[in-house]
Amino acid sequence: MLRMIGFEFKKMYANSVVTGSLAVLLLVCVLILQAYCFNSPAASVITPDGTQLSGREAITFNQRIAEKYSGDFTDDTIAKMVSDFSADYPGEYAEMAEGGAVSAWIPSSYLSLAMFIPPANYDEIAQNTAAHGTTVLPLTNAGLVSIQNYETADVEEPLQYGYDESWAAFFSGFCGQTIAIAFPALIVILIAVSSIFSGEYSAKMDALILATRYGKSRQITAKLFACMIFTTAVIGGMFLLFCIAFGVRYGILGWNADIQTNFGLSLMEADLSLNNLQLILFGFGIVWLAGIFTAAVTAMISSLTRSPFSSFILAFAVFIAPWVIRRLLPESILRDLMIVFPANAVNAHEILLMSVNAQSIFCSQPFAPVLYLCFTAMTIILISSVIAYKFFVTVQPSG
Amino acid sequence: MQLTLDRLTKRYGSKIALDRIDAAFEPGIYGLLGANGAGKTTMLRLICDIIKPTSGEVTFNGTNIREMGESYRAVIGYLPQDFGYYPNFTAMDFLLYMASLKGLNAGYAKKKSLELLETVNLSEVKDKKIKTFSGGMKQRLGIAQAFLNNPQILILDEPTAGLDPKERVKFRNLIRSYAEKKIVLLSTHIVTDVEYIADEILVIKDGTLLKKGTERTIIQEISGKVWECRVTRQEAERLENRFTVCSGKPENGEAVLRIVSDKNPCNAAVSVPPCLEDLYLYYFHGEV
Repeated sequence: MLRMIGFEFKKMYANSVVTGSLAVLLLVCVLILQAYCFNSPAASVITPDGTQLSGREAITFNQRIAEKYSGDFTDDTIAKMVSDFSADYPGEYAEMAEGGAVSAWIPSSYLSLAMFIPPANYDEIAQNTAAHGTTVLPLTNAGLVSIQNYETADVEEPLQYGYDESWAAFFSGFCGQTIAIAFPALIVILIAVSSIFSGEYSAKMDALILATRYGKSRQITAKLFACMIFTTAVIGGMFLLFCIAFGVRYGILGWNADIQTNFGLSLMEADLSLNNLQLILFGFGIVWLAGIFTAAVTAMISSLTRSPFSSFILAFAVFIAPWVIRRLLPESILRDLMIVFPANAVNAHEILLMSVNAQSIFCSQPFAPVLYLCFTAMTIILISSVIAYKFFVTVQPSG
Repeated sequence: MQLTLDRLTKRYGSKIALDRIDAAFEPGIYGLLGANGAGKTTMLRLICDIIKPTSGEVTFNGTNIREMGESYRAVIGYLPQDFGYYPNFTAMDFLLYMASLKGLNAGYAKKKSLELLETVNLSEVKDKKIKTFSGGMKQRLGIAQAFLNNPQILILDEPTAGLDPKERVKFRNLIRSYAEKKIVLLSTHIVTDVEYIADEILVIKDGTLLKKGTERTIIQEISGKVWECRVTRQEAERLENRFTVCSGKPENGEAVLRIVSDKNPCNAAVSVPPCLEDLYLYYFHGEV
């Protein structure tokens, strides 16, 4: 079996389209890393005395500031942060307090403090809500909005704060909502797997293979395993590159901080007990599952079509259609359910946000989208593999 | 050892590719003669367990091959009529790949592959990519892979296509030396291949088995139906339009024709002993 898998890889890598697409993926990965890791806003900061720092110096400065507040994230911590911010950056603080735009060059720890500084019409809001029979939490002794306003009900222990910028950038660049590496990685998987069965038909090798001892059994299993291993290697490879790039650039500071305090990701209300490191691993798991899903469906399509090109076209249509349809749909149950398709699922950030979206059917059920995704994906993978297996065995050989 | 076809039938929709074929094969070389589309390849694919019969069965030593599955396919060697190889594989890679599909262990596969590459005269190019090979070299590589597992049943579909005369002779000798105590089924429309090496011949037309027997037996069927005559060129043209002419050669301004016909084609014609090519033309005249 291992020898057969090895030969399947040999066939894949002998295909110049596959090697070309891998090279393009590597290039895209470098560009994304450039944007999210090497050239991110985190690599520029201005000190209280007005000195502009960049690169390693800026990162170290930001990390030093974050470290001052690391540990339990309480109203006292927020009060200390606001106090330091107003003392060190009075101009920026005044701007923030008035609801104006704040420079992106202030230390990253202070960038999201606006959510704790009450608006000028806070009293009016409190009166309005009281008139409607509801209340807002009173301000803390420091005159700030309490963390309890945001904190999820099920978090019993105080949240942990730490340096989060690198983790947010890692997660966004790998499986975030905008430009992330996971999507092009799935396209490469699609290209490579398209030829796994149809390549045998077009090479007129199917009859010869089917007449061999293991041509109808282990060979097909080996092909499916090769697809899964290739998928794991591509996604694992990209993940490893991200780990190396971010590890070298930022280190691992803040790995144990809770995702709720990672303000860059807007996960304050997510009812999931995860730290930044677990979040990254969660993203990897979701993307890997989407990759396996893509590989299995593409392998099935490959067994049903006669040429790698037609396999690719059909597999790409099947891959991209749910992504397009979901973008056209308004908020609805169907739209939520369509998150299961790989082109949508690679956006792991959105999966997490579903539980904090009041309009979603997964609202306040943080595990539901993940369980739904896992169950559906595993079912589809199993069914696709069985169909591919059956069809290749019973196909009418070419020639 | 016996391979039996019992009312073997294969339909594709309404088209009958093979119609209730009955045959039994014991060790020896069997030549399948038939025009393109006669059903030879379908029959071989059924025997190889590549496709499923519509009805009937193939049995090996009394057991249905579909029930035997892997254990049956482990004892067959197959060379398809037309297959594409993997252009970026070397000859050695290709044989090792086929060996893995045949379940041979790595050490034996390597030894056997080198041995077979030597046999088919490809040992010097064993590390060259197949895309650099000529048609004949590819065909020899295909023949080598069929022998990898030392099969008890060797099934060769048009094995000599693309081989030059010297290679064809070598191939025939290889089959002859190999065939002892083994069943070799050889499909071709190159009559001389069958003539030289087959112990028995099966004639297939439109999916049905017309004849099965030794060369001598089956050509007896057309005894008295093969004629030779010396005629003028005008007369030759007229005869060519009316009868199946096996050969015609000009001689001193006239033409000497060899004709297959149930009746005497002209007064000058004399009956001559038939050969296998006459038989082929008798049955497949007008077919591609």
